[in-house]
Amino acid sequence: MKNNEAGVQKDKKEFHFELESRKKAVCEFQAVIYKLLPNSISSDIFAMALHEIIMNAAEHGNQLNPEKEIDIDLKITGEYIAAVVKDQGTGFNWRQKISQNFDIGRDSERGRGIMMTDRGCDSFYYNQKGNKAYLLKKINL
Amino acid sequence: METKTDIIDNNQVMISPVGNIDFSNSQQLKDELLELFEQDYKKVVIDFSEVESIDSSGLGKLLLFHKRLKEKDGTLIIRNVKSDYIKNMFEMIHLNKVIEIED
Repeated sequence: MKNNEAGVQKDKKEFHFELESRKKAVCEFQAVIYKLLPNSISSDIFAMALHEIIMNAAEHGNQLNPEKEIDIDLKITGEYIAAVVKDQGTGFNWRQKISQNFDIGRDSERGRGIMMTDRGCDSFYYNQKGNKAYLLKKINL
Repeated sequence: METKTDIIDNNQVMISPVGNIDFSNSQQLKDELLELFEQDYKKVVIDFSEVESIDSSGLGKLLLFHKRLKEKDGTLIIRNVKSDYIKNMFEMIHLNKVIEIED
């Protein structure tokens, strides 16, 4: 994992990460994000949402192929946290996934991450193809 | 993830995972829960006092187990959630409407 901090303003920090598509790397990255985010409930929810999207990128996008990377851009300001997560996969029909009714008790073992992210973020969408996600959450400190 | 299993009686068992329940180890939890399922316990308590975080992959396993247990007239109870992260997440997704959550 490479990390280039490019923060310029005092209250604005920008980070870039390249993550291997391995389950362990994805889970360990949560601790990295946690250390960067301000301490608040919004941060917790954002961290949860970001983890869900990175997990999807690794598993469904990059098919857990360790040679394929996930690119993550993270921006933290005094007002919001935003991330862009890009995988090397073929994308998916994200609009259909997001438009499903949020029902946590639905039968399937899978498929809650996208809906949880949509619920937890103030803004959440993908590019047309569905391999680049944009997440934003306002911070209430 | 480490888990401890306490058999309370013929009908009840408590399982206590430690650390994070996530994408990297949720399959292990699923296997352990299915083993309890096959042993026909009617009441399964998951002690969350030492769980620090859980993601949708972990939740998926719990919800699947809850459903299968319910089909056999059993109950799954989540007890002792200490982590604020987990409390916030459960609240956000209204997990208490599906699975019984006790203090």
